[in-house]
Amino acid sequence: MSSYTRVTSTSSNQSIINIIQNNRSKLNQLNEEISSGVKVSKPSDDASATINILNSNVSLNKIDSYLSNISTATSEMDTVDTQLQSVVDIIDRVKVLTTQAANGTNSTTELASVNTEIEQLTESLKGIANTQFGGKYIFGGVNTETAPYTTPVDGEAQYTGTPQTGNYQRNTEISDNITVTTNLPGDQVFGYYYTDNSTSPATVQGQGLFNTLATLSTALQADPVDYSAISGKLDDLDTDLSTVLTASAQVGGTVNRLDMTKSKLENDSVNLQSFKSDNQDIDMASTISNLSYQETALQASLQVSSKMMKTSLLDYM
Amino acid sequence: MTSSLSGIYNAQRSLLLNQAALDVVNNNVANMNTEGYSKQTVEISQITTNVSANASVYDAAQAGGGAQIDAITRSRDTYLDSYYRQENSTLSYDSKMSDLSTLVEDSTNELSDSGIMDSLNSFYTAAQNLSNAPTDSVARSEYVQSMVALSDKFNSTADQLTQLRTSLVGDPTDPSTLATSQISLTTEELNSKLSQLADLNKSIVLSTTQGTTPNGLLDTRDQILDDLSSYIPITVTQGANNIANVSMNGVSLVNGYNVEGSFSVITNPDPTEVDNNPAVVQILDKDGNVKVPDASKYITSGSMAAILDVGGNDSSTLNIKGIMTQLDQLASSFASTVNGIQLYNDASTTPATGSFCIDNSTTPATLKQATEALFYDDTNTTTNITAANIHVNSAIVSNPFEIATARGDMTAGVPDDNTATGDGSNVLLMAQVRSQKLLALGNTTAESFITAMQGEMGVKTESISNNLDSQQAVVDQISSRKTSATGVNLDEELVDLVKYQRAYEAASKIFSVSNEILQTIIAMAK
Repeated sequence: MSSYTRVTSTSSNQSIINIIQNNRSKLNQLNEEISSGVKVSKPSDDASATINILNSNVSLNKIDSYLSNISTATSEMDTVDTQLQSVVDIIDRVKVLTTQAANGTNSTTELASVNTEIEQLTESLKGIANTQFGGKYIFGGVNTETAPYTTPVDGEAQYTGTPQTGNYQRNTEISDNITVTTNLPGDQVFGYYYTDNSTSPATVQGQGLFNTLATLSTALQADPVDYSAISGKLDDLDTDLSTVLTASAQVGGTVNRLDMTKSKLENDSVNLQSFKSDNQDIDMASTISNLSYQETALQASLQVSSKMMKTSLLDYM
Repeated sequence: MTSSLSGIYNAQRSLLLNQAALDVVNNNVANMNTEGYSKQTVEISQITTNVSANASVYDAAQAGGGAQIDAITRSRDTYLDSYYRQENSTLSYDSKMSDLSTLVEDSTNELSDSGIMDSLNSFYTAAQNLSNAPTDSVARSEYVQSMVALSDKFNSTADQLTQLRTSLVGDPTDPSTLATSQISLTTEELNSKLSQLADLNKSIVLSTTQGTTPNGLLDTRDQILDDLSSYIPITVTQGANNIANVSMNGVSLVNGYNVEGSFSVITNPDPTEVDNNPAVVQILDKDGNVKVPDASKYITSGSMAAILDVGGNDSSTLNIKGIMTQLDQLASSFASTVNGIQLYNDASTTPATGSFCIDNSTTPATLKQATEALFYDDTNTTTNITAANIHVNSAIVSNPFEIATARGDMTAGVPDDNTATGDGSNVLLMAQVRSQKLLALGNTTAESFITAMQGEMGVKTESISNNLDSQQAVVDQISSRKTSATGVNLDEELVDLVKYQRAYEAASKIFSVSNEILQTIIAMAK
């Protein structure tokens, strides 16, 4: 502000307009901030806050992605776990039946009825092995379109999915460049039993639980009955049980890892949200009080301006 | 000895003088709010012509011959005028830069909900989902949609920026756009003002040599000079007889009655430079020959300089070309990385490794080698992808199963295990491009690259805005001092009005008294 200067109507009017415009534009700015809730809506508002906000967005989006993957994987693995529990139940039942059958006092009819149940349990097991989740056969490795276990001949169970020695893994990303495998190959858990006609003469291929059940069924139907063969199956069943329990523990371990990752990601997300908000959002209370101060300033400037503009020598002549 | 009639003559002169002074007051009040009007003041001095230096002491002691108006001067401070023009030039530059940078920022703002980063996020999310369900046709469609949306976003951003640039400096591939560009229109306005100036110089000189001061014309000329300063930086030199000569950083534009430098815009004739600076401003002499083939180094401020800077390629200021180049780098690098994963073929291992898509013509579906790229340029190849031409291969759009979701061993272009349709490892790699540092972007991820672009733009735009604010304050200050010197103060004029009115009344009273005296003298002779 200068001391004595010659004040002309032009300069006086211009100065009034400038002051009012200034006040109005500050008021506008505050209004925009309050109605949008953000103080940085474009990079020129605050360049370094913009960088923080955009980086936070990227991290938050990635976390959303990973959490979604974790959720899908957890659901699938819960299904796997449930199925494995059913398998354990089946093996327990087979063990009971086998113990009963190994007892030398059974008649042929009784053995036949045990065999019928064993065959039914085998079919149940095949159903479990061909479980679908989200339209995919979960025990088929990376061949998820067709049921992994087929029945070329009654009593057989051939595995047509990706073998455990191949690239069966279906992986999902749960953190930057960190993936987990979410599936088990069928032959690892259930084994198989079928006649391979590509060799001459045809050979029988079998391992694991299906092999145990198929050979048990054969032994139950043998004439004369070989009780030691039947009781020998109990050891095989124990091996098969331990295979399933190991698989179950593996699944459990992966689910735990997924849970822990999920907690960590959720924590990170909260921190990032807070950081982003610090950079982007307004402090509602202080902005509103600025707004009312600015409204008062505008009113005052309007009143003073109108008084200034009216007075001149003409009023007194 | 004075004559008897001298009283009447003096009173008469007084009446005329005060009448004229009142006219000046009238004019001032009428023009109180006229822009560019300088207050006019009457210069009154004593009439001493009837007393010569050789007159006797007795004669010299006689009453004077009254008063006369020497001149009607306008209040003007030429120092303030030239200071104002200099600062106004800078203000115009800042103001134009601010307008243009707001437009650029609006086209590329990533803090809005619909920026490129948003589309990239949808792409990565869709890729993740597809990797978990590679045989699901919905997941495939969504992935294709995300690619289409991303391409569209690139295209529309590039388009907006190109249009903005064309509106400023024309598009070299379409010569008709130059005539309607801002740079052309500005040069037309400039030229019209320069010739107005030359004409005014002529009228002013004619008037001045006849002995009158053409205050109105001088005011008009000062207005034009102020207007000129908002386009380009000018220097004004006063010549004899109120002539004003104008030059721009040493290049003479108006000299006396002649326009010695007129502006013209052409498409840049140098094919290696035309992408960087599509339009070149030239200065022609009064015969129409080119006297300055490239005037850009003389146009250092003013709105014309802002147009040339934003439309050009100088990395020290905000320029559209720089941003478009960065967007092109991003589009090209991203597309080629993703295309590379889609068409992965590594024959260095035995067996070879390849990327596979799903062949739905078999039942059940099987894998086959992927042969369709995902992103194409305008000639449907992958070699020259830019932000403006990137689009999704139509083969992918019509059959999303062509997207290579699986990867594995192959022999002679046939997958070793063609049943592995549930393998999503290849598209997982596409999702993981998110964390991949791309060499062509300076070893940073795509999202970090865009973030850095936004930060850079924010810094430049913020500084333009700050410059504008501080420069506006400077110009407001000078402007206020200028109007203080040249403007009309109503109180002053009203006081003058009363002053001259009273003097007129007094003079007319003296006239009637002189008249009575004369009548008395005449009556004496009867």
